[in-house]
Amino acid sequence: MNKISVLLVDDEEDLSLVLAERLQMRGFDAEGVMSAEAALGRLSEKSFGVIVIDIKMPGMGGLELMRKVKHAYPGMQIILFTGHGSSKEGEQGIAEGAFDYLIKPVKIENLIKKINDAAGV
Amino acid sequence: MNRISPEDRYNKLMTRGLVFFGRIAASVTHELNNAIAIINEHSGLLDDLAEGVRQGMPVDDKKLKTIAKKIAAQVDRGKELIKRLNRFAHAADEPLKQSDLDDLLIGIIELSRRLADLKGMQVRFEAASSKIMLTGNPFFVQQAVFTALELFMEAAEKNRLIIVTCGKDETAVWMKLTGASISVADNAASKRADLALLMEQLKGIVEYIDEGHQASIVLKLLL
Repeated sequence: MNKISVLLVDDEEDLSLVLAERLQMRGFDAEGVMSAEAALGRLSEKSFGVIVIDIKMPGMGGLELMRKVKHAYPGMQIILFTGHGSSKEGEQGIAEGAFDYLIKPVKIENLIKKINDAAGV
Repeated sequence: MNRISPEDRYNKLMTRGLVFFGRIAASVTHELNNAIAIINEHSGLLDDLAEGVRQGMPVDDKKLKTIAKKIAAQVDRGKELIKRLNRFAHAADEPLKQSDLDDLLIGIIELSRRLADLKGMQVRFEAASSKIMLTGNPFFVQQAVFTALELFMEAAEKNRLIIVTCGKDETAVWMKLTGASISVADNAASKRADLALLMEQLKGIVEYIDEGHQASIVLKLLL
């Protein structure tokens, strides 16, 4: 079975990289980047099955990145990360095509389930 | 300028004050949540590594030390955020208080940092050459500075850097914010009205300076 490739986008470096490492330990082909711009750069080089995006990021925000990704890569599944009190933005993301959203901090099992669901596994 | 009744003024100040308090509390708790999320992931990573050891994988002591350091860094970040938020909350304790102006400005700039970051903006504080003590309502002073910062944050032309300076002369204690441009959007008018109201309450004035290539807001607390 092919590994599910996951790109994690969060301006908190210690979050995106550790989450990527924990997903790798569980058999995912996961990578972390720290900005929307870096995510777009990486997406132009490699295809990912699922992209996990933090909604609140400096510069280009998560929702704007989501719109660009949906436009350029229509088949890619998107999961959003929000903080407490930002679930309205999560709902907005779903309305605009995100697969779902999760509230940080997440349990790794919940993230994996959501990634698998999004990838149709 | 239209005069408003003391009761209306009080109600307006209270309402705007609550909104300001809420904005700061939401921003700081969001950042605190990020620190907790990072600790959560590193704690999970430790669990993963322990599981690996149970299955006979070697322990990488350098990695363990790195994880410990990362957790400690986030604990320090959380402590600093809580300290700032607590100080800020206590600013509302006494309506008239002597405060160190540098401390007040550093406090509100640090509390606004994430909001500024989200707008791709940096705020730099240049302290006065000597200590300036301010007698007034520290909460309103911080609210006034924050409102001025918002006018820069919401400007159509991106403000990459806002410089905050302060000083004292024969007539006033002043705080000056300088950036590329100040918002002239529709909601800027109500922010300017809020700022005028706050400065009036603080027995001060607000001045807007447009020099073409840069703009400033000067908040003067009259002596």
